[in-house]
Amino acid sequence: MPKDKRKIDIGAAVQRMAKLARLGFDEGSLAAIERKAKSVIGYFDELREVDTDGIEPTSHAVFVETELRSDEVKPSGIEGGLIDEAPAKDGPYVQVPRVIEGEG
Amino acid sequence: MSKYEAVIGLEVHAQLATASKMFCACASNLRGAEPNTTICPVCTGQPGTLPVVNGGAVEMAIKVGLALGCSIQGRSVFARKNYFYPDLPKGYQISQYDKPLCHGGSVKVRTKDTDKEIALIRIHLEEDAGKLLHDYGHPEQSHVDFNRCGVPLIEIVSGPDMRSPKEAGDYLRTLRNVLVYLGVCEGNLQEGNFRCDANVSIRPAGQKELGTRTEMKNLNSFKAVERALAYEIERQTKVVDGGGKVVQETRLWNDAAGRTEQMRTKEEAHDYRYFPDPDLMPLIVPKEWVERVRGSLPELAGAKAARFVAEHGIKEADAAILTDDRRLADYFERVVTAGAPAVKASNWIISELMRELKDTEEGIAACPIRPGHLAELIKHIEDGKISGKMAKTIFEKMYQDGSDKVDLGSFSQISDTSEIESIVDKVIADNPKQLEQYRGGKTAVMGYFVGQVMKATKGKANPKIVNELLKKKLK
Amino acid sequence: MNELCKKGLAETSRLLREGEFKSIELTEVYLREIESRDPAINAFVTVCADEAMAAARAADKRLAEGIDIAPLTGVPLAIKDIFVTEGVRTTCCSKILGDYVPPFDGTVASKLKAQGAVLTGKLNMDEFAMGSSNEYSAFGPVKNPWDKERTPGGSSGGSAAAAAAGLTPATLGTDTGGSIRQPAAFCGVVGLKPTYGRVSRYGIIAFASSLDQVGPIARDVTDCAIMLGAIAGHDPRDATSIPAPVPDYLEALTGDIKGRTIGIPEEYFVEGIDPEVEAAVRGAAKVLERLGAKVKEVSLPHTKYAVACYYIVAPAEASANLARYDGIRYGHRAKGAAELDELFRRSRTEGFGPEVALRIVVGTYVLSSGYYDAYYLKAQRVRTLIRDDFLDALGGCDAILAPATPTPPFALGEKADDPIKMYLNDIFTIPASLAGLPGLAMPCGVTKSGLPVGMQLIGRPLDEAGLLNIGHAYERATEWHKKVPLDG
Repeated sequence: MPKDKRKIDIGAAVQRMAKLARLGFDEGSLAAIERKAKSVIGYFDELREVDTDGIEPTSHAVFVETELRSDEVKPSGIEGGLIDEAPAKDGPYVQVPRVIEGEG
Repeated sequence: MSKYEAVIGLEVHAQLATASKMFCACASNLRGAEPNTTICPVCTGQPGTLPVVNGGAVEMAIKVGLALGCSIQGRSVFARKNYFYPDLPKGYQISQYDKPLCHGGSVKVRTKDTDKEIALIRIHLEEDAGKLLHDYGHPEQSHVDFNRCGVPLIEIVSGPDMRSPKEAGDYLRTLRNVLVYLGVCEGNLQEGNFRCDANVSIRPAGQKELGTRTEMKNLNSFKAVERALAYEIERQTKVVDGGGKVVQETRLWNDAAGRTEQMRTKEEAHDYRYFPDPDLMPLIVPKEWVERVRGSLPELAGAKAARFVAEHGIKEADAAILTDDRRLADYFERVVTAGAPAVKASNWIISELMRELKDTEEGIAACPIRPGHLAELIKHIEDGKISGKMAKTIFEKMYQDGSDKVDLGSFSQISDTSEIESIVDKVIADNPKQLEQYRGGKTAVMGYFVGQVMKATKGKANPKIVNELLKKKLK
Repeated sequence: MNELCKKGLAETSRLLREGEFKSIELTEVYLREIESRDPAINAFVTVCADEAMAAARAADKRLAEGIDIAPLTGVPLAIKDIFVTEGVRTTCCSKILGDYVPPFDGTVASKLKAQGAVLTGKLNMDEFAMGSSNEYSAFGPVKNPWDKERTPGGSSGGSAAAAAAGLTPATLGTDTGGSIRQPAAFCGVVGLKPTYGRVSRYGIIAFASSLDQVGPIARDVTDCAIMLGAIAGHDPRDATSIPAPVPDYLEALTGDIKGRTIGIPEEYFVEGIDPEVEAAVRGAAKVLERLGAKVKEVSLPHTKYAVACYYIVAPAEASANLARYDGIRYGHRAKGAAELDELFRRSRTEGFGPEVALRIVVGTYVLSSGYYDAYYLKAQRVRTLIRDDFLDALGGCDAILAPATPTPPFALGEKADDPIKMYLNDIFTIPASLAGLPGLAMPCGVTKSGLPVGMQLIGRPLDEAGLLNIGHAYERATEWHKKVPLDG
């Protein structure tokens, strides 16, 4: 794919990604972010040179055989403190604008 | 309708009955908990917090996988499923994506109407989200309760193997029973610890390719699943017959109206951007662990039913009914252990007891009569102290009153043979015409004599002895 | 400047135990120094004077009774504002957490508290640890104490600057792609990024989960060793933390490095590196040789792909880690949002700075359907190659010596608008992060214009003791670590 077309695609993709990530940009900042994103994503092209056939991906730099937690209850003791942090509360609940249908 | 074939696949989310949550030590059993009281920094997604896997939840999932004949993966991976919703504190759900804990397996469905092995595709572990409430008094607001965030779930995905709503319902009932049998899930749809999403499509009979499917979520009873599927199959049929195309979408089941409806909000194609969760190492399940769990599996319904037939001599059909619910099967065995003859106990439970339980949700858990007392009652019949008919009356009273003992009250049966014999003799002597009819071949007249003896004894004569004596003396 | 603030951690700790002065006096001194000298540097985001005085009083009691004394008992310390500290505002230098006061302590904060350390305040940083210059902070940039027109580096810019300016005897930062080592080099102090998993991440606000690590910054190696000993160790609340026992790091500082082999990676000395930086680092190699170490050339062939690899992996993980900042349960919530998506969008847009927004967008992109294989998965494979390069090289040497940064500290504003230019600052620190290896940055020179130059030693997994010892030996033979302009 020619480099220019890829750059246009990245521009459209930025808007989609912003939506997925619940970020909004006004005209001015949108232009800046598109420019920067194009630059950064374009830079990733470097990796095409690397032959990674047959190489396992690294999800964890260091492998630890984690001990699983035993199934025991330990209350946090700060339940009230956690809800106190909420910007909007109603009784014991955290309040949000009315939600119509489920995400599920 | 037979022009088309329905293809149904089901995804079940079952809450595991662990003590603590999937990734933190908060209580996982929410019954009776006030809102936002079983929470901690981890399950509310506070900054800087990290998940730690609950080994007990993994063990339960292995149990389910083994019971359903799955292949348990020695190495599986937790992945983040990313989306925004107020009941999802981290903005992602920790689940499993391309490397789940279990592959394959099947559910053997054997009910009155269905005899089929439904293939499973996979079973994986994940965490539950919180609850959104909409009727807390503000029309413009919704309210969030995070108690349920992080409760362990297993997701069981079937193949597209079911062909009718009944098959689907029977699959769910069977699967639910397995989970309850294993003690890993309470299996209560109304309480939300066993949830079902249904996928359904139709295709012309004989066609191999699948049609476009629609999805229905969170149907909260087995009947709702069956009705929703039936409706949707019909709706899709009408669409296709009318020359239209089925749209791939998620539809909501409106139980009151008896129909599925399009969701009001436009559904964006979800891009969950799954990737392996860097906060959790791959889940390693060594073979020794799997074998240990295999050795600890309880006797499942099929094996139990076979044992009831072999050990207790009851009919296969009755054994199937008794073992359908593990608690009912346990109740039956306790009645037998308390001394009641097995076949009689089985008959009593299947006829009298299950009639009382018919409309309850909790099943045998709602029965106020202890197994020992039912055994006692049955033994009284065997001893001749009371008749079967009397016992039924006493039983009903015990059930209503929830009484703590077997009180025969004024019920007592006359089982003294000589006492009955004198009454039989008198009845025969008082009814020469009927005696002649009987001796003339009208054997049905026996019933009249039985009735007369019962009348004379105010119903207290032991019917078995009455019948025996009459048979002897009427000859 | 008060003389007490010129003392490092080891000396301060000793004098407290010997009763030379009380913690309460020392804490008051530090609080006054912070008040008078920090405005010129802007290293502090929060000063918790009341909490500090209470902790100092409690520490004094402990010191007087002589029970349960730890190296940090009574020592006034400030730490990066990325550590969750109960009751003390924790912002990660973002508007989205501008008023967040945690109701719980993270593991590191708990450990410090348990030892009786006195928390004086929280230090400035690049927002959500994303940056190399501390210019991306919601609380304003930090000035380099060596030259106030220049950056102290980032993201632990406030930490390195506070240590360099004597506003704290030692401190803790975090390092994801160089955020301890690069500012340490830019401020002429010592900074250690331990092996991934050596220190618990429970209670550090996550940026990139597979890379984040906590580490000490101080004016000499000994002080770093003390801090590391205080915080290292397995934590059952962090499934990625290593169960290996914690050695006595102080005991390991013998100063004897005879027979050690040091590898010099040819790929780190290519075009683009400032000649004075190169000269200082090669000079350090000569010192190590004089001290008995053998120096040899090694190759880390995939070095040049590390920055691209990192800037795929780290933003991807960050995009998910920052999804919890949605205005629902804590932090900034936009006012008057009528419906949910508006609430999410406005809260996050108002709360995040442009660099954070950029990285979230990039991170979302590389994980999104259709791009995951070509970007994220590809980067994770390249990561394996980079890690293998190191493990091969470290099979034949005890540590690798490299520059910490390609240039001396640059001017504020110089790189802020060009992301790639800014990202290339981390070119020498990123590879060790990707490989999960420990890295020690320490001063090894001063440029003609009076700016610090730092070198970096990269070691085998869990060989912090080995690295610290090489650094200690070097320090004993040189004076660079003494050149810090303590009075800012």
